[in-house]
Amino acid sequence: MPIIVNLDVMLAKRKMSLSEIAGKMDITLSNISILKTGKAKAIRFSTLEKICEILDCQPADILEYKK
Amino acid sequence: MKLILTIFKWATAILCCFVVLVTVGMTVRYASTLYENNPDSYITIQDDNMRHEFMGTATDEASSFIYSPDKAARYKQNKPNYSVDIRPNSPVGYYYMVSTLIFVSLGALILGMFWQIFSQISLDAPFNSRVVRLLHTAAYLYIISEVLGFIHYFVLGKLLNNAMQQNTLHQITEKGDNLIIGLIILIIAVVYKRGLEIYEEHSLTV
Repeated sequence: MPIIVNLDVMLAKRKMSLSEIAGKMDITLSNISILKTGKAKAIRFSTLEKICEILDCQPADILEYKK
Repeated sequence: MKLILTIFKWATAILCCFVVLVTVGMTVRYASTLYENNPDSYITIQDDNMRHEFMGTATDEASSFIYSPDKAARYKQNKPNYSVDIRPNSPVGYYYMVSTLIFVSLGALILGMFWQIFSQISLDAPFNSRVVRLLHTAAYLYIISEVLGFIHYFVLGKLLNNAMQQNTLHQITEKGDNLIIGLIILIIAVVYKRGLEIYEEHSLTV
């Protein structure tokens, strides 16, 4: 899929672990792992909103389109 | 709903075991008939609904058995139709026994598929890929059995009428119901597959 999820990059920049963000977002570790590994087929606006809020970033920092 | 699924599961399991036993019983019976090679033993031809009626073109009465020249087949009038018996040790006999065993085995296989389907379906996780595969297989088995049924009707008629020169006999049988059931199951399988895709998409939505 040409949409790349850069969640791991943003997590590294903010020095935050996957389990930490999962706890703050109140979602399961397996769900956030699906997003990080690029296996997710869709992302809810509410999830994106929470990620941006916690990591203090823009949606474009998380999602990238590559041809 | 769970109770209905359990009832269906056990009903198909019992029916499947029964048909398997019938298949084994028929195989043993046919094998012993062939082994005995008794010239007086005959098998009555039946269709898949256990009907054994034939239409004939002969105009004379046949209240007692009328034999074919090689004694491979005989028929009797059951007004207004006919019943036909065949000798096991003849080409038409071999063909009839093999084809009957194939059809009964196909029936057991289809029941086995439904047993598997009812075992696999769970109300907690109703969509799984195995059920889609089983539904497709069951649908194709129904369609194949219908196609084989048509071929069987013509081949049996041809073999019978080659042996029997006094009368032209046509089996009275109902065809087409398996094709309709197969197509309905195929449509259900396609819809179920789409449901599975939506379910997988939903479970991969974060």
